[in-house]
Amino acid sequence: MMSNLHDVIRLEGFLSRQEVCMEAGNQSTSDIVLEGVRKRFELAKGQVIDAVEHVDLNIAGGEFIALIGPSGCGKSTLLRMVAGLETPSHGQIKIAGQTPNECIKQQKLGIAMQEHGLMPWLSAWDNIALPFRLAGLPVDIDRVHELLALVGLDEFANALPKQLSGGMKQRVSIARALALEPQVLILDEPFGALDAVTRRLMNNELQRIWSRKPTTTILVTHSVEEAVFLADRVCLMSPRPGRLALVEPITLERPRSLETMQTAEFRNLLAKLTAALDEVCMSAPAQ
Amino acid sequence: MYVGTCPVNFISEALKWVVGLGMLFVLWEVAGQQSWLGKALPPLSSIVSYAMEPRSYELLMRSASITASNALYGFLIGSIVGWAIACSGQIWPPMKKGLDTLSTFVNAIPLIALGPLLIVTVGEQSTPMATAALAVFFTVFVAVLGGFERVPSVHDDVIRTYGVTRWRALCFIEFPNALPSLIDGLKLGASSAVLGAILGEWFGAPAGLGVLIVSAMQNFQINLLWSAAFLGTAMSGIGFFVLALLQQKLLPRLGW
Ligand SMILES: Nc1ncnc2c1ncn2[C@@H]1O[C@H](COP(=O)(O)OP(=O)(O)OP(=O)(O)O)[C@@H](O)[C@H]1O
Ligand SMILES: [Mg+2]
Repeated sequence: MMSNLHDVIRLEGFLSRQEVCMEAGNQSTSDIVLEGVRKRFELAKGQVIDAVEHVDLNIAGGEFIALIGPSGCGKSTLLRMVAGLETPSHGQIKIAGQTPNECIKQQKLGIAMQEHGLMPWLSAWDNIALPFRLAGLPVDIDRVHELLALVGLDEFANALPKQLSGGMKQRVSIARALALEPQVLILDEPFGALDAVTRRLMNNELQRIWSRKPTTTILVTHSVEEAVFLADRVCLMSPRPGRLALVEPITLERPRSLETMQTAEFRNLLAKLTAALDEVCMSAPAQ
Repeated sequence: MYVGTCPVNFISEALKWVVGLGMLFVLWEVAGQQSWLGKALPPLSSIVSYAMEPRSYELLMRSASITASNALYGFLIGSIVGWAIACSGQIWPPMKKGLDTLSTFVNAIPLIALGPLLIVTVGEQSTPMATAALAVFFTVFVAVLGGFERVPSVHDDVIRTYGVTRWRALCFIEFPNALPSLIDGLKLGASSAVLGAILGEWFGAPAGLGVLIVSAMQNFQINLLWSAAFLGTAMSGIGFFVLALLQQKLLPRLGW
């Protein structure tokens, strides 16, 4: 309990610093436009897989988008295209008017992928400091410490990834994604390996980070509850080849809390989206 | 935590070696005494007592230290050059293809054939070092390239999403990933270096185990031949052991 309180206090410090950053005027035009985006993977022997089929989506600067859908429907592929890790076979993606690759050069993106991708030879602290080094910037020591505290791992600063649990590794990976104060945050099932309680805590933290410095965020999750809790809009993808089956605006008041989750409005949205998810899964052609 | 289990492991490991080698030596002694393989395989005891005679002992040690220094310098030069060239291909990708071809080509030429060439270019004195370096070069080069190929794709994603320059990617992500492979390569390189040095000494070097082996063969000094061969083997063994120890102690501390 005490340690939680401590975290909260430290958090406040962290967040108010971010606020200052925001007031300094980098309230960005980090809108994302996806236009007729498709992705076809060419396999051996001329086989092809259509992973994503025709996605049109306009994401406003500072908006929080949650992406849900059955496994293998192309969510990660879509994220990888936004992050510039794959090129769309058709259509285009623009982030604040630039291509993803141009954004990458300016270190505008923060990404935590499904696999944590930490460097096994670096401690948690050094893993979070890595983006600074990779960008050739001086390491902001205070910021690294704040991020460690933010994900509740300040006692594990010197631990190597192999000494951390799966969920801890994911938290380090999220902290790393936040290190350079990105304008676009891309999270692929970041809380997949967390227990329900830690997951809710992390959701809360994520909401707070986001609300103090609205960063355009795309979050992939398998939890409809998480999606409704965090997002401004929930996008539901149909089974492969993925396209947007439903885009549901979530107008719940912010900040959202545990009480929000008890409201009828929340429950209705949850029920509606869960039913919609079930429906797209059922209607999938047998593969 | 696991400190307690460490010595036990070490002792049981050492015991296996002692037992294994002991059995081999006993068998050798018996085979030698009974002359199963004729004069070519003298009993171990006669080889040892020959090597311990002051005159031959001094000769053997002098030669061994020359070979050891040839092998060591060759090892250092070969591994640094192999490592550096593999890295340079990483920094400047167009070079990579050319390097691959070149190194395969270099490796395809038997060291024996390069010997006379080296005598002419670097001289008899330096030839053993050069052959040792060449032998190590390829092993290390291939090992480091292999290490770069095993960089996990999530790490490649990190390199790309942060728009990392080739140089920083190499220093912070690719090279650390290739480190276990590099040490593997060095381990193999240790015996290549000794072999390369002895081979180089055959081409008319003033002294060394290679020289000793050639002259012992010509004069049918079987005991001398075996003593020199033993020393060469021991040298590769020590090199291998030191690097294996490094691998076992260092890599886990680095998170592998
Ligand atoms: N590099 C690739 N080459 C070929 N096919 C791929 C590649 N990456 C993904 N796919 C295929 O694209 C489809 C969508 O994969 P993707 O990883 O985007 O799914 P997902 O929605 O993220 O699933 P999950 O929820 O299980 O993570 C899958 O059928 C997969 O096999
Ligand atoms: Mg995925």
